[in-house]
Amino acid sequence: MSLPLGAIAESPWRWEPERQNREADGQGRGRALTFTPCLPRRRDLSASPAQPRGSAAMSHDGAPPVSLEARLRSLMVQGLDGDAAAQTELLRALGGYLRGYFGRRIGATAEVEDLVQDTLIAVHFKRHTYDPGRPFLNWAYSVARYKLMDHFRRTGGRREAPIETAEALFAVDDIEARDAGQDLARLLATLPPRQRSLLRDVKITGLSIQEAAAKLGMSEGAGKVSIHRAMKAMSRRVGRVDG
Amino acid sequence: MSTDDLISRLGASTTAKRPPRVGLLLAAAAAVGALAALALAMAMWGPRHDLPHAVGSMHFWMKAGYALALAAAGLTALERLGRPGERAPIGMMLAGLAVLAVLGLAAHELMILPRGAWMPALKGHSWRVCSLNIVAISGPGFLAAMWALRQMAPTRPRLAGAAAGLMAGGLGAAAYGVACNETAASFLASWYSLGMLAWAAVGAALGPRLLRW
Repeated sequence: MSLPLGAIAESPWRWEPERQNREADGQGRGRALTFTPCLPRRRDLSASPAQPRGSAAMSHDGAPPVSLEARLRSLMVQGLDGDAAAQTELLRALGGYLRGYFGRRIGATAEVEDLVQDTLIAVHFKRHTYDPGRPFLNWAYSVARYKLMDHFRRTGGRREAPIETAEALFAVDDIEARDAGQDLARLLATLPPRQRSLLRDVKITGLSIQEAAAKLGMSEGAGKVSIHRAMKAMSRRVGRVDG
Repeated sequence: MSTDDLISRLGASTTAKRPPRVGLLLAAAAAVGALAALALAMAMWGPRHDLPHAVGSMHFWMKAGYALALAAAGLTALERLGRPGERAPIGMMLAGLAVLAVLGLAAHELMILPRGAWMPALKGHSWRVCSLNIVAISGPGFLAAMWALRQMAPTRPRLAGAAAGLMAGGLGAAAYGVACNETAASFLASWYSLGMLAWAAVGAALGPRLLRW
């Protein structure tokens, strides 16, 4: 359901109207937004990681990118050695992936959060079953899939979760999606009200430029110019000058 | 509790999990299984009367080797199947090879025996009780192995339960070999196998119910 995006195609984000309103942040901006980030790194588990907040500076220094597998495995091993900070960071990182994984499979928000918590508890208390000589992502995925099947068994619904690879769990990080949604909300808030309304109607709701402009009593041409300016302004704010 | 709170609490409760727990758990289960089976066998039947002589014979070590190979296969498989997402190719291969080897020995033995001697060799003098005796003295080992598995996180509970049964049955059969003076390979291939596989079948049947986590 992604929309043709014109100028925004150069942005790293693909915008999608959200399906569940889980991210509503109560900041009075109407419906909340989620993004599906479409940077290639998100699906490439071996090459480059989704950097944790706070450590992004490392990659800007030109340090070689660390794979998600290597990063999470190192946190896991530190946790096994009794490092509480590493264990907390690991659980936080996994929480985001788990929310996305379960959400895409069962949909209902409250149960998703229960499953995320069940799985995090299992990850924590069964962590001695991880063999550091084996892939961590596969271990974590197997725990998540077991909990999902357990959920299906208890609710008497679908009996089997399809057998997938660990990528199924690590495809989308909901922590980052949530952060991205907040980033977008903040960016939109910096625009003048008319530009903001136009942009939302056209890029998110999916109205034509003519319809969106008509709502504000503008001509289609004026609407186009206004949207172009809004995109340019937002691009400047995220540090891109080529709009 | 919110997920963020949960993560903070779990993270704060982090303690070191070294040395590797899985190895310790399984070593404990195997020790319990072996010692309990040996103690029970000695208490119920005592060592076979010709033990000093038998220890020098091929058939004694064939029995011990077969039983211990299956126990080792079960233990190897447990060490993998107690971990999420793991399979147990080495354990399964080892078990398959042991069974094939003993079937081969039994076939060879039957080929060199006249037809009339087949049933006496197969039945020995204790075929009615052999399997049941092995099952009886393997019980503690089975419970210990299932207990160890419950401390782990098997995602294939049926296979993991079978591996627990195989390890316990193998240890029980090895202990029983100290008390039992049957010598035929065909006897070993049938009644010993049946006794060991009985626990594996029980483990496979109970695994999905007992090994949830």
